[in-house]
Amino acid sequence: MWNKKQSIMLSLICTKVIIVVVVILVVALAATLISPDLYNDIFGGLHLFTPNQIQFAIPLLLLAAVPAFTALFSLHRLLSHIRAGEVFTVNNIRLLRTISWACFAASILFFIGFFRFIPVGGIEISMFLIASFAGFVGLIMRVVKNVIDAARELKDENDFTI
Amino acid sequence: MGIIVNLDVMMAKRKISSGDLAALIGITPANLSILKTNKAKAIRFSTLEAICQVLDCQPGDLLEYEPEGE
Repeated sequence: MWNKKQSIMLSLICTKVIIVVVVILVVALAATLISPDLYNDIFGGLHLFTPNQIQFAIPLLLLAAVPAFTALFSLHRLLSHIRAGEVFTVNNIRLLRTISWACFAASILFFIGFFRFIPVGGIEISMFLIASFAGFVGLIMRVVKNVIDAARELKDENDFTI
Repeated sequence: MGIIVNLDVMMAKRKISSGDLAALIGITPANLSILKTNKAKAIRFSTLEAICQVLDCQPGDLLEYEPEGE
């Protein structure tokens, strides 16, 4: 039977897999930054960026990896705490706030990309969608943080009612 | 300070230990310690009643109001 423990474990595994995927992407992007010829070998088939866009897009994506890693590692720590039975704690609220701000930071970065690529055409729609999605997720995380904070206060009150 | 719990004073008067009192009123020693150290945020009437019964006292003997900032 599927239980809570297995569900948390699956979430942890998914988070770890995404961390690995992001690490691979960052390494590949960093390699193309060091040796531009590698871009065609690695990402050429995807037709993501025109040669003019690459100079701006690769550093932007590498910069976006910072909030991505921040959010992913915070998520991993949050899941580890939940697995240990610590749910409504100040630590978890701090982690949720970090994830929320990381999403907002990613959103800002992709909006910068969107405005930078507007005259070129094509990729700016993806940038806009990613920026909007990251901003929306950041907002949801913020609301979840507020809910958990209110729940923690209730739990504290309940724990200290003798 | 707000509400002060003078449980330790009453316990000393009645010469009863924390462990014995906790067992008699049916709460854990950890919760009794929270109550004694003024960390509790609320007290149930049932708990207060049990303490008053065991210590043979009134709620006013256990609780004291001290205005904030004094």
